[in-house]
Amino acid sequence: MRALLCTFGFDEDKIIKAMRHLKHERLIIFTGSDNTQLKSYDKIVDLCRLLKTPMETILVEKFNLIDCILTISEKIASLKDEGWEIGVNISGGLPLLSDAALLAAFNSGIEAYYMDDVLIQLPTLKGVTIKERLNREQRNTLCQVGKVKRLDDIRPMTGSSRDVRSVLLELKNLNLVRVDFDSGSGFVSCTDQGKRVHEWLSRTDR
Amino acid sequence: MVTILGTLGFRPETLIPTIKSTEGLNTVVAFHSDHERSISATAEIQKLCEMMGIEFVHREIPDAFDFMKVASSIQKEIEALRNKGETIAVFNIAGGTRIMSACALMMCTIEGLNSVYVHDETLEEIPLPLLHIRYSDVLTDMQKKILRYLLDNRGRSITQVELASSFNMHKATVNHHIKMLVEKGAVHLETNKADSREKLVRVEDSMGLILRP
Repeated sequence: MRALLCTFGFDEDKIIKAMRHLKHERLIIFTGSDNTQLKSYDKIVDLCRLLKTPMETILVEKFNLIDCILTISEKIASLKDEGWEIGVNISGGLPLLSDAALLAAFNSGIEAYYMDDVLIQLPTLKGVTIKERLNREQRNTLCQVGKVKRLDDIRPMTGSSRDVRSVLLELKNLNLVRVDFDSGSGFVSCTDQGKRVHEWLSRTDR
Repeated sequence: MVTILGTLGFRPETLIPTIKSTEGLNTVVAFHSDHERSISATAEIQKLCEMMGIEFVHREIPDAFDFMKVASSIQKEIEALRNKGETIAVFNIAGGTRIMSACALMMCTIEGLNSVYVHDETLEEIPLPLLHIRYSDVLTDMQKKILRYLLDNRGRSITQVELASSFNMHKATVNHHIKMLVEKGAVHLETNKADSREKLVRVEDSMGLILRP
């Protein structure tokens, strides 16, 4: 059973084409609230009613990239929990919404497609998620660093024999944490990118 | 040498915050379409770079709506910069067509580059929660060889039997690798119309982007 997730702006054509090319049992649309007033949106609703395809619309703050990424990622995580296979079609809506859906697909390890004259499958690999790109020690340490902390306060993960400083160095090399020294004491904090990854992990980790 | 990359649309202001925020910046590389307004935005960035003593390189993408062409152009540029020993600080993906921006984001994930977006109104830079996908960790050497073979022979119908013969491996071993690739969504199987007992192994062109030459 596959759920098809689509970004939508004003053009129903790309969604309808994707519906024709990608077998699905459920359609989920991500769009801004003003777009649901459009006739093109009504066409998709009508089509789903005729096809008896359950359709759900999730409203996003379409100018807030991070909100869009997290909203789409959370939906993907909950669908995965329910056992759905998932495909994302990123062809509709603002470029920002497409980028958010593509990033969510990359980070969640699901199939992504771009529908133009032909359907293009994008090179995401199923099951390869952002979680797998950090090992358990790195994830645990990043979560501890959630806010500025003294270097000495960071504890090694229970059951791990790895030195916490070497884990921090790996996170620093990934541009996720920074270490500053002030009056001889070390302080560790997340970079902006580290904050985003931390937020993503805490909102989608189940 | 520190370089930033950016996709540029009609608004030069989407790239300026990254020029301002990148320490020790030497070179700006902008990808833009052949649209008049995009060329005009590029000229504005060029002027700014000249005033700041920063080298400016622009790459016009004639068909900014062709996904594979845009992705390949960006990937080639990244490779060329790396071969020259340049440090790519960040890729600003805020401007350009939807396809340019999505391709840039995709390349950042595949090539392991930092990426930022710029808010439309506040012009605040937003770093993206993106980590390098190390495909070498995800695909085995044999899986990569099979993908490469399939990509190099895209015009032909290839069966699992042919793959086994080409790689001098037992059919069961090839089937195992193909099963893994199907599970990852990297290839799919189609029934051979000429012989319904056979399965043809198909690969998407875009998978070529994750296999470095």
